[in-house]
Amino acid sequence: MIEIHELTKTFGSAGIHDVSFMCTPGTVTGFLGPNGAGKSTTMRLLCGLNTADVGTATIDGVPYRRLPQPGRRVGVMLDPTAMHAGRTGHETLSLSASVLGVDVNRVAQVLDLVGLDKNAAAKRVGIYSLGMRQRLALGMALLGDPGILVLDEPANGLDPQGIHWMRLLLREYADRGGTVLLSSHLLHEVQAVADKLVIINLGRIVADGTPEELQGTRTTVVRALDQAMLVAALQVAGQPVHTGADGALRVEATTEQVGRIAASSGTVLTELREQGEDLEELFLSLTTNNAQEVAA
Amino acid sequence: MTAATLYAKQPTPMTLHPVRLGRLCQVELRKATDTRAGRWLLLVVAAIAIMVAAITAFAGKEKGHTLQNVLANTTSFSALLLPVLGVLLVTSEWSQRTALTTFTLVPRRGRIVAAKTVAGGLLAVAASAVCVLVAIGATAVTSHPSGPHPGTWHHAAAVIIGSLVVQVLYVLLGIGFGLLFLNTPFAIVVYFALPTAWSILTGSVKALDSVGKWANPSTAWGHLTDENVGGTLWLKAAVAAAIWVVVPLVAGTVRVLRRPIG
Repeated sequence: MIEIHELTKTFGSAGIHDVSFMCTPGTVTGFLGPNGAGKSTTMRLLCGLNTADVGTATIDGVPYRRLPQPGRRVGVMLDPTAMHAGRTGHETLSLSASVLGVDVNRVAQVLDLVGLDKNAAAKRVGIYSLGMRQRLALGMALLGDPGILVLDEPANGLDPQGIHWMRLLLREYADRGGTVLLSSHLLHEVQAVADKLVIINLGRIVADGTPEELQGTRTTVVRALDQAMLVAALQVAGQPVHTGADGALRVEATTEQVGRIAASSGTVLTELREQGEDLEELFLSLTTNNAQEVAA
Repeated sequence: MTAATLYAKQPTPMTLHPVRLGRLCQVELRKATDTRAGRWLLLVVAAIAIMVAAITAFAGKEKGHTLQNVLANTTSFSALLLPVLGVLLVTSEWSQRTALTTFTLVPRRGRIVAAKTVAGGLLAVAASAVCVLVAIGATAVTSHPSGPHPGTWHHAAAVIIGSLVVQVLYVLLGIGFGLLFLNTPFAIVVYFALPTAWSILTGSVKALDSVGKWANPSTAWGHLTDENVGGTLWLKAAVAAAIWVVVPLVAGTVRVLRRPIG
């Protein structure tokens, strides 16, 4: 369990303000926001690499810096480029394994898990592609067999297959009871895997909930051969109806409810579909920093 | 991705003990030797020790063929590179940005600083052992065929202890400068420039002359491998150590403890 409570850290005019959210076991939390919104700042504060001005961030109730062996509890991946170019992939993991006190066999196991073969592991990190570094960094996070993962932009530099592979891995990890916090500036990277989305913009949390919750009230769009008859039936059933500019009817009810009303009134439907607020539009509207805001 | 390799276990109990300092020292020693740059630096220190010992023992006047003289020369050259070793032990974490991993795995930063200091001390002991062995070897080989002339092995114990102390001090000086600046070229340039600037300043201003002698590391520590090291020389060395080793180590540690990482 990750609990972040009213975390604040200012750097001049930037920084984060009053950031609060929770990540629970068995879930993947997508931490979304444009570049510079405060995702990395929040994660670095969580991992004790920087000190907050106000607020707390805890791992199972304990601040990160007070964990006796943090690597055995939280797997952290903050910057895959922050590795010694002169060490091999295998040596990089072996050093960390030594600090964590895990078995040497675990290194080979993890390398295999993240898809770096013996040949790649024996090469120096300096010649790795960004995708290979991402895999090695993820391996580093998994090395201590932690119950919690904190991953900053893990999909960066991965090809579409790599992104798909990571999704499956994180899904399986969460389904086994693990807690995952992963950040991204791209909605589609996390949408497919996240159980919960936390959206940050200009250092403040602007949305927090399941994708369903964030999509808000769903509207059903419906057309019938005899629209007047359907409108009458819906009104009898107590459902307010609006006629859209395209001529279709819009009802604030589920498709099933509308379908049942139509069936009982004997109306033939020609269209019946759900229309939610598009997550992409929501994300954009929440994170667009237009000039008016600054002027106001 | 198999069940055997990807667990998401229940949280590990809080009874896990922090990493032992001994293990952290081992890891720091491994970091100092597992890259080409690190291995080359250690090889160069050893090569210089051998060369200087050979030159002093085979060339020069015969009365200079004493263990004291050979070891004093060897030490002074090895001591030139040891601060660089100390600097790199610390600053490579920042130049290669591995500090992010290091301090994520061990968030109690003081333990990493302690481990680096101990590891640096052990490397200095190793360097000192190489110098002593090489100096003894060179002195033995070149001693007079009819038996060593008197004085060849005089003050052996004192000069060996002096050499060891000097080399440890220089590595610690490097670590202190590394912690203080967290930047390889800057720390090295300051280390080479500052004592020189200091001796020029104290040399040109009469009133500062005696201060200069006490507080200049190369002068104060250089005498530790002399023939007769008295109490005053040790005192001078201690004063220089306080200024050039203790102050940077303490100030640098405070800086690393407070500074954001990454």
